[in-house]
Amino acid sequence: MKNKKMFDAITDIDDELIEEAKEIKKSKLGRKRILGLVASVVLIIGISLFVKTMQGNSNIAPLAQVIYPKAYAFDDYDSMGRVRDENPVTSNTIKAINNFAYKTGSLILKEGEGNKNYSPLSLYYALAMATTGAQGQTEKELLDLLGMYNSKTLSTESGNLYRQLYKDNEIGKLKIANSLWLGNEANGWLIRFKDSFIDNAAKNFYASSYNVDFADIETGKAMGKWISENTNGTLSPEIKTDPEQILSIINTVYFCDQWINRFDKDKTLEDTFYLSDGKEVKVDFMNQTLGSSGFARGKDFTRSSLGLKNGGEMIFILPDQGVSPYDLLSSPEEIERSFEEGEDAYGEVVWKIPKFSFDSEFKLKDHLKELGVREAFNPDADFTGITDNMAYINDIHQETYISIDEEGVEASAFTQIYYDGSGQPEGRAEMVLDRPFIYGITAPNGNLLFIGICSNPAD
Amino acid sequence: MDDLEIIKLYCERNERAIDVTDKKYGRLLYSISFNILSNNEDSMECVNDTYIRTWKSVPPERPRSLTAYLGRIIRNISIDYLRQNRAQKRYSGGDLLLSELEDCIPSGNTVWEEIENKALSRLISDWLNTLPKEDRMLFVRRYWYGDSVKELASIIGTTPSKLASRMYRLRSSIKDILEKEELTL
Repeated sequence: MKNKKMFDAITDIDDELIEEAKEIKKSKLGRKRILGLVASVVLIIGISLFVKTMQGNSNIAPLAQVIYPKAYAFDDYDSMGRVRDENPVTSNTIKAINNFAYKTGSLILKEGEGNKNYSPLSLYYALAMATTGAQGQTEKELLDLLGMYNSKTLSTESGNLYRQLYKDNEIGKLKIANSLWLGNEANGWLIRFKDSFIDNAAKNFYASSYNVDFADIETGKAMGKWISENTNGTLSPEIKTDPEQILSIINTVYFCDQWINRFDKDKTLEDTFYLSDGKEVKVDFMNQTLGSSGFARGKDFTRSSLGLKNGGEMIFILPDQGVSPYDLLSSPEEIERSFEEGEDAYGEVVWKIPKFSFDSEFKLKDHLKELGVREAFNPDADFTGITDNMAYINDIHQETYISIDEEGVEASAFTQIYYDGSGQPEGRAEMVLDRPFIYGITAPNGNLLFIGICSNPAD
Repeated sequence: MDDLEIIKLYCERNERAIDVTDKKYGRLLYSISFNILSNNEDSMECVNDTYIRTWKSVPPERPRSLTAYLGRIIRNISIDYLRQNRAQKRYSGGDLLLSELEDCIPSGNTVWEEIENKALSRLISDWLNTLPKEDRMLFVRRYWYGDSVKELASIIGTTPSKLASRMYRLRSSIKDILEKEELTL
């Protein structure tokens, strides 16, 4: 084989050439790790001052470092129940967060083509933290979008929800991490941040605070490192700070879990995925049939979900033939209908899911303006709960990564519980996801962590 | 842990050597193999085989660059794996790499087979050293690390089609060099 000879010769090129080329890679290498389901997100809100900053030395030691809630095993139901009881979250809050997910999701996901993975929870947390430092009309607009009456309740409920959702065990993780990056000087003025804001952020949002100089490129590097550490290396964005910035709020959500009913790798087969433009791509599909599962048929779609070992689930919504997933996301009402309505049925579900992994990136400022959050982006915004200097939000940016494959744990106690009390299957659904589809990942309490569209799993 | 310390662990027959190698190089090795085999399980197996082979060969061998040393092993293992399992596998990243490499091979009735592998590697290294740094790195990333054109395009901020043309020009360039070289053999 002539080309094998060439391949071998390239294998033996000089060490120095190999070492040199190592540096070209930045963030994407090594993402193809085997994990059941991984999703991560970073969201950055930059708050700017209306003056130019001066150069200075940054001190990137944390001002306030938080201690995360105590982790417990995935099958430690006693601890799970205790944490839930000690940290009550009202059904109104859960509903408010999902309404927020539908409102923002329909705007963010319906634009453009391609795969998209959006984390409403991440955006909710970051905006909630900003809201606790807002006053007047700025605060009101943010509270309206978040579906909350006042900042105090928002803080308490966010703290309780945080402790309920936090998971870090041998099977999976759901880690929400927040950080505040505070510029300490601007144009010779000392910027004073209010202790009440920083303390509340640490107490209810588990936010670490860092004192930095936004004119120093090291700050961007430190922020990138923090993001990478909190998303298990799945995201390593290059952050360019703006010297006019005085505060950056970074929120990350890292989630991984395993299917209760794992997919048999031997049954993973290549087949055709039909793209919306009529083209076809070959991808690997994971296959399994579950004997007794719930599913729902709605107008224009079939929906079913796969359970995850830490109590959440991944919901798949397959539009009927000829229906675009974008139609099902065209308004908050449509997206809610797709996730929550339909005629419930029960029976055998045949699953055929393409393996996929992709990144998404969203600029969210304009979407939020469209949803009524205007003051926060004006130079005369009122963030006097954060600082008495004039400050406004200059940018909101979210980056996410998702990957799914067969991994899971073979028949376990969980699987048995899943089948306990099941009657004979009455219906049958085919979740053959061989055309663009919608998915959502929910926490055990039903809150949507991620919503996405998979348009092309080969992309 | 730096590479010298890792190599020292191998020389002392300390089994931690494999753990630290995995921690430091596992992802890289996996990606090199995956770029050839396009299969998770097979790539994981190749990574494990790489550790076994390294354990057996160091010592007596003492690599100068651990990246290059481990990378060569996994390239060899992965390409062999690809050929052995050809019948039941789908078209993979390695197949695409090999087909692109055909563009580098001198055409016509040549003495290609007679060029020694070592001499060929030397020629390629020398040719790479004449290239602008970015071209050189792109070639090595594509044909040694096996990164896809799409991935490389996103790293350097260009489109895959533009990068594909650039890669084609690079392959043609090495082909010209090799054709000239053959005349002198």
